[in-house]
Amino acid sequence: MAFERDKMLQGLPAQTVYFNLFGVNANYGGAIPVDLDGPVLPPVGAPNVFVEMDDNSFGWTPIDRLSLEVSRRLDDAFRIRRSASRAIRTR
Amino acid sequence: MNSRNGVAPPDTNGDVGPNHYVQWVNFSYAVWSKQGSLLYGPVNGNTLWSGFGGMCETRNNGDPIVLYDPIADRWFLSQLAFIDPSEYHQCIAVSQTADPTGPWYRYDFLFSTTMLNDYPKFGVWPDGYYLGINQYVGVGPRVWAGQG
Repeated sequence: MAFERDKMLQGLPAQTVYFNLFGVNANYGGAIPVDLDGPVLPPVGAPNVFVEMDDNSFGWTPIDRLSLEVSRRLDDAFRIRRSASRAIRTR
Repeated sequence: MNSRNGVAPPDTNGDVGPNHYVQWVNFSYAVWSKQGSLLYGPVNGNTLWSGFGGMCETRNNGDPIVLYDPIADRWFLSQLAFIDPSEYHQCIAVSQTADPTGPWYRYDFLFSTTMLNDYPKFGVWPDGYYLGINQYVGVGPRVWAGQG
């Protein structure tokens, strides 16, 4: 899933993009998105990458590791809108 | 169980910013200075949504996430709120300033009325906050429903 960070930083109503990968491959699970730290930003437009690591004992190794690129451009992806936030109030 | 909320596993989560360290364990979080002084808490995680209404205020279901957003110099905190088998929420709070003891923008995203958004893991990225989840349907036993 992806959330509209720019809106959330301003406290504005924000929406999500949601992909259900069960139909793509039911074995996908535990995939974690990359988290940005430090002062060096990725190239403009670079997609976030989800990474999954599975022990061989699970009986399947998607190239040993799954790197699932959620290929999305902001304008395209946010057309697939799934849920909206509740009204926003601040303390 | 000799922990604040008496549950296990701890789901220990924390992040560090220029001036603070924020840690969320089980159902409680706290804020420290970089010098180690406790500045706030520990308090239940759903304290973030006090007065907000809805399940994010009334439920404190954990699986917490603490992230420092270095691009915006803000803090991002999140946890689950759900009632089996019909309401599964992702609660998110984004600090309004660089100070995690200050005010928050608060969100309550209804994820599903059928699937649990288990094991939520977020990442900060320039064009969005990204989330990976393990989806389950049913209760006792929960049945695997794929990566979301």
